[in-house]
Amino acid sequence: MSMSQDRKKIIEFNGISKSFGNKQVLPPLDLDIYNGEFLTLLGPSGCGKTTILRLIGGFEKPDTGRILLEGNDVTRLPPNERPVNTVFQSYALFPHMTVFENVAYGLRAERVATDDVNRRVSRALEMVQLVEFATRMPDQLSGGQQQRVAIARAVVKGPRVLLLDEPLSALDFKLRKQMQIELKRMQRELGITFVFVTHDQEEALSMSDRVVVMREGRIEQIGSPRDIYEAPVNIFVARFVGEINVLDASVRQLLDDRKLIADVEGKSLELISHKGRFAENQAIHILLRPEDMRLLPESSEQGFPGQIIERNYKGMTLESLIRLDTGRELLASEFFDEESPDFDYRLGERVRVSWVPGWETLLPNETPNPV
Amino acid sequence: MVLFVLLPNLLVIATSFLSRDDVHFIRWQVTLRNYLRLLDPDYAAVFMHSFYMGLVTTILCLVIGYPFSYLLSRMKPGLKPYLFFLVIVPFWTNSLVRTYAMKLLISTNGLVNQALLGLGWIDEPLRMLYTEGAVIAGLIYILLPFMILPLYAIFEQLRGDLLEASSDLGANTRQTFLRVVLPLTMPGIIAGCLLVFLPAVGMFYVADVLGGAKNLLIGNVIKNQFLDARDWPFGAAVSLFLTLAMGLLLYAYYASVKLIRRSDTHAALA
Repeated sequence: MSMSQDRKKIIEFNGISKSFGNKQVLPPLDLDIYNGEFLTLLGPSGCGKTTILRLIGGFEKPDTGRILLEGNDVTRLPPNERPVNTVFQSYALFPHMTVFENVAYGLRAERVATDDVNRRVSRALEMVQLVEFATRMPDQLSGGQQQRVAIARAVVKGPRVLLLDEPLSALDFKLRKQMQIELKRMQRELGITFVFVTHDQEEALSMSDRVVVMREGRIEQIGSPRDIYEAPVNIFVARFVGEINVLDASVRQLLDDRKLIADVEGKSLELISHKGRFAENQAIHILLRPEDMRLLPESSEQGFPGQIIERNYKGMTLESLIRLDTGRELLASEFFDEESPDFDYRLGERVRVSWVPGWETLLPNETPNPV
Repeated sequence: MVLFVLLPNLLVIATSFLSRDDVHFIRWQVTLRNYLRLLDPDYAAVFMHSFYMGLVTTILCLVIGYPFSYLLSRMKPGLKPYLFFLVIVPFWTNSLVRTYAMKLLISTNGLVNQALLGLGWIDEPLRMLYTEGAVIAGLIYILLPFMILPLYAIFEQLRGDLLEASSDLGANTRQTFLRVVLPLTMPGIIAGCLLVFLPAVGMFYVADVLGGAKNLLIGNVIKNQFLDARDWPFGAAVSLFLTLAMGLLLYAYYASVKLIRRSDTHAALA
């Protein structure tokens, strides 16, 4: 929402690269971050996402390239001269200061008048609901409370960009969910650009306006959570942002711009390509999310025959692992539907597996020898 | 603990209230005379001078040791053990031997004077031995590691993310030092100062070897009473006085640290 209203760039990476010793963490890279958006850097550990955050914060200097903040070159500026603040993964609260003093630290460093400090700190503590903890020391707080102090301390100065380095990774599941919602709310209320680093795909998808999926220093895909999830540009992205089934196929005939007929697991099927064009006889991957799969009775004409070899009850959904007669295994995740009599297949039962037509994602098979 | 700490101390306390005897060292006659002697201006002057030299030694050790420990803790992990080793090496030689070595260096015909003369920087030998400076230099030489060790330990614990957070929040290097580094390393500073100051006023042999007659430490007074003047009760009284003075200093230190903390909290409440 905020993105479409205001597509002004707030941060620009132009040809930024970074090595530590002999190891190149970031090959030359461009990245634009827009004013007011919630941008998430997502990737496995060591993919360079934290390095990007530290480059914005000023804790690292790039080997090449320029970083622009609101059009100004800040590449060589030290952290204390940048209008950005960080919520550290470790929280990094000052252990010898009260909650109040921790939050006031940034304002005091700027020599803000005492009245102003008190007012702004109180407001920040109100926002994170920690007013009554102002005089506590950090070690007297729970992990979730420390986390909120770290956030209050970072936003109290009204930064142009807030950097969050896996801030929720130390919290337990329930608290993490709660903080995700609170962070979203704060971001809306404050109107600050959030740059969020995580390796948790669910967190990335549920919080972000845009997600940057990274691998080994390279940006694999940038897009809305929906884009990333439903139209991944390659198998890495597809696998990283959730469970995915991959089928190998080969194009037999092109019907029109989008439709084609392909040989899949010994059958010919009509498929739809949402992105990209393919050639006849090209090897392709068919990507399918488990929740798009459908289980049919064995008597059905559609789908591929197989046997259920695992069933996992997940509360909202029921997961089945099916081994096709061709040997390939597929994961299907179905929502409970009381009215569907076909729903309850037993372990070991023979079924047919299909999917909602048109919900497949087609990618070229880039491995030299298709399996 | 009882055998090696409590009992000897009780003996010293008891002795300090007894009288002197030329033959048996101690006569069983209770008196306060030993403590009254402490008020003697001559002794008071020695104490003051001793405290002064101890204080200068401590401050200089801190001034040298603090940045040294900081740099040591920031060295590459591979380099640290070797540099740390260099700090420890002097402990392998008895400090008395090292004190004599220092005497050789700074004496009138010593290496330092000869080098300076040879270079033509001075025309006649400098008088360095038997000065206040010589005692202080000797004390620093011997006690500096005791300052460095606790400081190094505390710098090793100092979390890098706190320094980054400080900078991130807009503090410059000076502000970060005063508001984060200094308070968080204060336990190391206190420990180092105590470890230097307490021995500094007691190291009689350094004053003996390097200081001559004028630069006595309290340790010299105690040692003289026990070994030379054979006045055990007075020696005991002096050492007890020293112990009490130290205790008082320690208390004052902790009280002030506490006060600083509390005033911080008050500022926060305001």
